[in-house]
Amino acid sequence: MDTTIDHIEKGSSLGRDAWLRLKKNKLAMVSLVVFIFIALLCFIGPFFGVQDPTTTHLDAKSQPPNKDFLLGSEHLGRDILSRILYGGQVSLIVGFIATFVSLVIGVSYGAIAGYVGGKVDAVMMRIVDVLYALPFMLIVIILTALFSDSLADVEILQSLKEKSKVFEPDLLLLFFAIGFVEWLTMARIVRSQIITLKKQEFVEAAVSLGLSHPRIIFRHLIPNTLGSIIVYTTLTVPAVMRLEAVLSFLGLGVKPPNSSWGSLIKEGADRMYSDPWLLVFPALFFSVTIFSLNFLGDGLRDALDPKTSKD
Amino acid sequence: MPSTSPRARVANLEKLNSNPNIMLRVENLCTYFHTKGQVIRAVDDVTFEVAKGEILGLVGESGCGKSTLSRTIMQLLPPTSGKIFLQERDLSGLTPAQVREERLNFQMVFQDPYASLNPRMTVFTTLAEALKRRHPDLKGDELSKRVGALMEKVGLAPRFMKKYPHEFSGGQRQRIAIARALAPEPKLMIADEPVSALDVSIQSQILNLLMNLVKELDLTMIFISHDLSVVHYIADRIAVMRKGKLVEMAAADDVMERAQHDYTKTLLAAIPHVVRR
Repeated sequence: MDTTIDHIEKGSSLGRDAWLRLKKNKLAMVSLVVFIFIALLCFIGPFFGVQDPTTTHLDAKSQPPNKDFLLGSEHLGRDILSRILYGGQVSLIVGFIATFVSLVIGVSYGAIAGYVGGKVDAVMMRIVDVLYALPFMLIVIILTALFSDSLADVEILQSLKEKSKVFEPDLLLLFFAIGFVEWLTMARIVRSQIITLKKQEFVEAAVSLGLSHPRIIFRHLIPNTLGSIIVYTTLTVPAVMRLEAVLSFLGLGVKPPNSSWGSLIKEGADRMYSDPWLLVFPALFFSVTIFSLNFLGDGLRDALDPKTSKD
Repeated sequence: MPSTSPRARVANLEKLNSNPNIMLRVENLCTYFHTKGQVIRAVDDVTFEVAKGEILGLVGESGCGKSTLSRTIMQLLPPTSGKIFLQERDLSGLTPAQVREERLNFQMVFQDPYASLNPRMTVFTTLAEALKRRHPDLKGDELSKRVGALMEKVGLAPRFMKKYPHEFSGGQRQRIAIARALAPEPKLMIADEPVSALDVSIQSQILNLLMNLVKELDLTMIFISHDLSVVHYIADRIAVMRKGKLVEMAAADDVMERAQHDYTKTLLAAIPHVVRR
């Protein structure tokens, strides 16, 4: 039989099938390309002759778009384009890291609650209910007030701040505060999926083989919830970015001289009658990104929907 | 399905009670479910033995408790009372860790081959995982060889080992599920309606495969079905179950030709016959 193993045929995983379906969805693919383009622009763009985002040009205050300041300058003469790009880095990093935090906590918490079941499940999910009921803004304000100063003293964070143009110790608070709220929904989604899945025969077969609980959870259960996890994640990233924008708009998130799309929109809104470009361009970048992520999420949901998968 | 069925081992079964070669003994087994103040006696005081090398057919209508019985024997459901002995080893007295080790000796083929295979795992991953339970050190070429050999044993070409369950037909999937059950080298195999989800044309192939495997690997099998004619084809002895209790148990031909219990007669009458006109 050694001879037959030479020409093993390749299989097509459910993930690959979903990708093929996604590729047929024009809106989702355009969104994917637009999103990648914006992300590349934000992270690589600044290396190609963009002005420093914090340098003030007092001789060129509040300029409309021109050849020195492609998207104009604000009241202290700082370049809007470079502020948008650096601010985009902050917004995207917050969006992805906070989502990642909520993903890790939510998936493990929900999977354990659903798998163990019974009283453990009941207690774990009541905790989620209680956290759900707490007003989000209150948590964020308390977290900011409590930890803002003490975080500024941590040396590692200080050195990080010096190395990177965009990192602020306060950002950590944003990750935690947003991740803290977003994991709740993820936990609920994953738990309900696990409860359905664990009654399936392939899980009974895994138990019959005497596999360990972690192996059953991580190899047999969680991979089968990936579809909903991916869809919910793509929809969480824009939700998180909106939250960050709201917080920065309220002055609780990113603080000057740093910028995020949220804080730029706030500054722009303050001067929207005299210098409209201050509002229009950050808002344009922000909404195009949110739109593309949402369309991508919708496309993924269609592509991963088990009802349409070939069987 | 052929009307005559092989009865090679049936002669030995007369001596069953005096035979020390008992693979499985179930004593006064009860599995009850409690729902909304009601007690459902899914398995109610069931006692029987299965000899080494025997195929025991278990028949009964839907909801009679045959699947609950098999899942209780498989240690997937806790028994309410009673004992299960696998080769004189009392399974009810074991710690969870001991049960995990003992599980390798009894494996199950499930009813629905579309639900019993993990859709995210290739045939190779599924079978390698099962093989490694008995031989944790297997890896690389040796592991692929063993997976390939296992696939050939159930009539699948090894070149399909990197494919996913949804790329196979129902019958092929059931072969994969059988291979997975064989991988840990079990002594007892429980097949819970393994052909009821398959096309009639495929059913006899799978039945013949199971019968050959039992002979070739010296397995003992409990074959569950609601279809008396299927059970008659494959089993040495037949046990008839109704409302959680065993109502009749005898050599397969005896049940078919000289049924004692009224319920068995009803089941027999339900088998469709071709009437010549």
